[in-house]
Amino acid sequence: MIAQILSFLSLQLFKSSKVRELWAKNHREFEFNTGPWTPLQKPTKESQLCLITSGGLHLNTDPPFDTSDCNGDPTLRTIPLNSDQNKWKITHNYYDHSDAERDWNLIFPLERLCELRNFGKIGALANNHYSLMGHITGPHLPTLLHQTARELADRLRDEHTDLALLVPA
Amino acid sequence: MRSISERLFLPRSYHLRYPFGHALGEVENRNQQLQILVDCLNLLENAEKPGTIIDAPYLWKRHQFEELFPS
Repeated sequence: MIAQILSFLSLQLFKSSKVRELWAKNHREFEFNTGPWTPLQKPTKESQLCLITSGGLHLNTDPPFDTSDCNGDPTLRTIPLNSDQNKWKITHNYYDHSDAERDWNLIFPLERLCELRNFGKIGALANNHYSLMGHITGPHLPTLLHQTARELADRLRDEHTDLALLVPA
Repeated sequence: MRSISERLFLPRSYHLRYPFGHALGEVENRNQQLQILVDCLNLLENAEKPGTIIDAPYLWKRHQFEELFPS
């Protein structure tokens, strides 16, 4: 009961852009003074790209992200390249996705990337693209870092992806 | 969100000061969405070290985007 009340209050607070900006400014669960670096192996026009969003997108035939947990849901969903956009759905309570549901390109620009591929700016698009739920906190952060991120990296490598574009929501 | 990119030391980041849920801009603004994606591809091609952050010059609802590709 207390967890449900805290979750409800947290959701109400996050409807304020000021609160979200304050949260981002003070969110210090991870902090690094160096980062990974993989130089581009070939031009983007010859590379295969995979799109990843943290906007809580999923197929309506897949399990929705768990919004009852105030720490979020650290699991992964797959969005196939040729999936029917009428079957896409967003389950995420921490941002207003009403506009994104009118135009998926706002958080998941797969349609635009198809155009760029057709115009020769990208070599190819991966057969599978991926979605996560942002706003992962507390005990789910290690799961995200050590399980989900590694699973995603394995999939990208197995699918011969050269470029990963992560779009936050 | 720029502060998160800095603290996480992401390899390459493209930063827009747009409202949450509008990472690529406005609904049905094809020119805007394509421009942002082309900028991201250019960042991939041109960044030389981890932690590179590009600040987009496009103000929310104040920038007129040109057509890059015919529709």
